[in-house]
Amino acid sequence: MSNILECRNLTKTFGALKALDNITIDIPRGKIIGLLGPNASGKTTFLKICNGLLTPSGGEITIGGFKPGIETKKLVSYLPEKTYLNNWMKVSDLISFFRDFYDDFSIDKAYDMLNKLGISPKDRLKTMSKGTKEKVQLILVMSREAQLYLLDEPIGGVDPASRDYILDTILSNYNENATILISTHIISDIEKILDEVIFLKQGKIILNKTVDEIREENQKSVDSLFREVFRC
Amino acid sequence: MPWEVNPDRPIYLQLAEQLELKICSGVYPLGSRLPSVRDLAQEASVNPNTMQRALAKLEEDGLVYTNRTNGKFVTENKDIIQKVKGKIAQEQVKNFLKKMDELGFAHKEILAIISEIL
Amino acid sequence: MLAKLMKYEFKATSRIFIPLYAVLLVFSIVNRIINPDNLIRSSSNFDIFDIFAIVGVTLYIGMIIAVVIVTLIIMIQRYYKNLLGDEGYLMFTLPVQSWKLIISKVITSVTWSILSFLTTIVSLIIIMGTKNLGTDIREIFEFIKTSMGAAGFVILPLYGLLMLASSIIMIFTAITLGQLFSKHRVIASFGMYCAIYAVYQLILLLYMLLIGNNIAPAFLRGTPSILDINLFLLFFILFECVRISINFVITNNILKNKLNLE
Repeated sequence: MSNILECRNLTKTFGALKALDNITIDIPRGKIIGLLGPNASGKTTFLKICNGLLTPSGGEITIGGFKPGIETKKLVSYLPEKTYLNNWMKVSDLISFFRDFYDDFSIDKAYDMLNKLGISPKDRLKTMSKGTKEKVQLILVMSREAQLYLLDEPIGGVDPASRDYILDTILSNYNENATILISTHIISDIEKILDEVIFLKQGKIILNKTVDEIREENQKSVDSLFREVFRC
Repeated sequence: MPWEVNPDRPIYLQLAEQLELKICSGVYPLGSRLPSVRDLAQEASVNPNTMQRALAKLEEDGLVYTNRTNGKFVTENKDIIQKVKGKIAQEQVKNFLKKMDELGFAHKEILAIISEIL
Repeated sequence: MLAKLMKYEFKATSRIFIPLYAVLLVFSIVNRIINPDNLIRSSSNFDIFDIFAIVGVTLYIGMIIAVVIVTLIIMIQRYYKNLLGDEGYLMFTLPVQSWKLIISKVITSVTWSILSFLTTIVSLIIIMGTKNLGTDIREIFEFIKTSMGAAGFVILPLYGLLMLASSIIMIFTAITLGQLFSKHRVIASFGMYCAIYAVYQLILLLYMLLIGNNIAPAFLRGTPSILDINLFLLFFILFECVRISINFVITNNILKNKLNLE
């Protein structure tokens, strides 16, 4: 199956608000894709539905041929936007936790990345700065050999040096059978590593192209096009 | 030589140009083995697929060839390298002349300036 | 997977319970040493020891209450925070079935409740001394034997356990039902608890009316036999089993199919 994710007429409403409006899209394997849009455009809602944390109001979505459930959770590695790990846990506790529940988790990879950052397994999340916490969360997510990585704002709220580190980590963990879907509104740092982009505006997909198509057709960067398209 | 990537133009073209430059200036000597696509992509902080596309272009142009089991190698053909060097030189000069033209210099004046500097 | 979930549940909660139990027991021992007979002497000779005694007894009672309250709060908080708060993003993306998430929390909550109860008993024994303990225990056992026979030693604990599990699951169900609301989820949970409590009381009433014809005569006569009492409790055990099942199915269904994490 060449598409890791297929979505037909996906809709999600919260009361009167339509967060996702008739989303239909296929996401291929082996690509790094940007899900781009301003705040409240539906990016996080879409990712949560992929993970089974929200139930769709209409339409359907399959990942690896399965509806969101146990089988998809085995192949999806998700980095939420928020701090979702228990603060009192030590890094070594977290690693044991991931190893216990995910067959595809590589302890060696995780410790290797943590070592390089100078993070000790005995450190508790509580004692870390926000930037360090986010790096730890990213390392845990990228240490899994998943088929689909869903990263929600991995570089938001982080200093430029850390951004470079995060992008490098994403690149070094890239494997051609897995897809990485990065949701963000900070485009300039990230567009160099993207294969394709999806523009999401008020719950609708308004653009879905490869980055080269955008640069050739518009003679400008994805970042510039984004600013144009989403001008207030 | 660090990689310079400008998101305004297709990145694979820029990578191809910079690879050409590195080959012509001897960073990757004749006949040598290039680093893997992944390593190159990481060095340049770009998507491996993009780097792959750049290398494909270089293969089309004959600068690089793929040995199925061992990876990608720079050509041993000195003529091709010379040709590419020439092409790069011509492009640089054309760009230079274009700028000088915009500033309003006549060709004689340009030659004088060049002599002075050299 | 269930075992792993329970491992982490215990790890997360023992940080609070172990120190709590330790403090209670140490305090009981200290109280016992300072005030061996637990007497507060009459006001005619009011001196410093009386103040220690009063403070000691008050604090002790406070501690017992604290243990009870903490057990209840932790149980609720674990469910609410770990499953339906930010940590839910971690728990619900694990490749485990939702029923395992629920059961792991039920089992750990039941365990801690029992442990809290036992620790309280132990601390009471420490405070009050073991002088009459042997006789007291023997009296209790005799009472159970005469009124319920040997079966009583199985049925009573079973009923206690089921009641405990049932109350815990009902709290979880109420919290989960509260999740169906988009706003004011906490208040909705309280409301839901009152609502389902009322509904079950109604069902229980109807149930008792139903079985009343069979059981009541013996009790009204004042001479229920061993069989009568056992049957009586068995009916309640049946009721609790049904209640547990219904609540569990509702909770699991919502978590599996209608999850809407903030």
